[in-house]
Amino acid sequence: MEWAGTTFGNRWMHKGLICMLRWADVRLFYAFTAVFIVPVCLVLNESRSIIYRYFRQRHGYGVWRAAWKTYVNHCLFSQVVIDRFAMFAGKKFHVEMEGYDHFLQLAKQEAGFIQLSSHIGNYEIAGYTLVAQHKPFNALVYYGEKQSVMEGREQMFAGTNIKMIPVSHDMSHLFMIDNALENGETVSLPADRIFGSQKFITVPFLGKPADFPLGPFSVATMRGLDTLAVNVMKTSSKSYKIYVTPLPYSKDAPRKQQMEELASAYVKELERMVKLYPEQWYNFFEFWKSQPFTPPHGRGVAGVDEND
Amino acid sequence: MTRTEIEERVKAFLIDDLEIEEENIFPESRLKEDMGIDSLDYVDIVVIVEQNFGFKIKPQEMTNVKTLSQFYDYIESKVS
Repeated sequence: MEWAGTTFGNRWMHKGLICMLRWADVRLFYAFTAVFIVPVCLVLNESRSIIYRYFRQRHGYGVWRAAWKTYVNHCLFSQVVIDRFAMFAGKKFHVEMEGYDHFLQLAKQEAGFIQLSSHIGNYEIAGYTLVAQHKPFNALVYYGEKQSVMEGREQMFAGTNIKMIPVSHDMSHLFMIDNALENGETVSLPADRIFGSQKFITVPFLGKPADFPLGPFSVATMRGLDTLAVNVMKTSSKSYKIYVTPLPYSKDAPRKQQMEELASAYVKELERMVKLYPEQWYNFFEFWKSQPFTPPHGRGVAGVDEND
Repeated sequence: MTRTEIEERVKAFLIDDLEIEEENIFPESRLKEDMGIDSLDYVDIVVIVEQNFGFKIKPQEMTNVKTLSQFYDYIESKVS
């Protein structure tokens, strides 16, 4: 499934929301969306059945629990979107960190490193908190994102050493990423959605094979770079927790093995997060293979069960 | 560096790093259509060429490089 990556709504809606959020408590908006918006979305969007199956098949929930959690998932997603605009409006959130030392250690090095994120929790709220003072930080963002969101980001990043690398169809962003890493900078990119290059790597995830884009793992292992998984999970209405986890791989191994090890480490951490916060999974498409597993040429992982 | 050395090195990394089948590697082979090289592979190629030949490919310079023979020509022009 290719990365859509754009926020619902137009420029004026976003501007209006930001204006209101400057003065109003976010919880008012949470309540409004939970009562009036989310139920309509559940009726109109196929995400409802996709997430329902996710809870039933991947987490083994019963019918009613899965249904309730589907509603909760959509409410949390709406809160994530509201929190993003609240951040643009200047609101602050309490942020707790686990594994910050791993980030500090890599930030001290001259070599660049990579932060891999996922579409869970709310990376944008605090993922950019992990910015080293003397090491430029490059964030991969979707080129087609709404202008109001990009303006909000630019405003937040003004005066910092955070740069945005827009994802583009001609894949030029890959070269920009490589240049940044070669220059000893940090690059942040999601590793759970395929975009542009169709090359993928299949890894067991929550008990079933799933495809992950090969790009992030290819870029990291090409230069033998250290890689962190960074996930930002919502813990209360005004609090988030950042999890920073090193992703080990054998830098002396053949390249293919390196990518497989790195991908496996990333997915292992993703699985840990999703088990801790199952309602904060926001890949609203068929993430897992529906057909029996057959390893793609040169990219499959041995030992994966064929059946669900 | 001779043309032959360039061809041998390129062929080696196409097989070893990009896992391209040797029977698909001819001078007339088209990079994308015949060898399946896509944009993600180009990033690898940039790094591998830098490591093997000592110069960094500029993506815009590869715009007109469609075949393996043209790729050899390009590298030869850079290293000579």
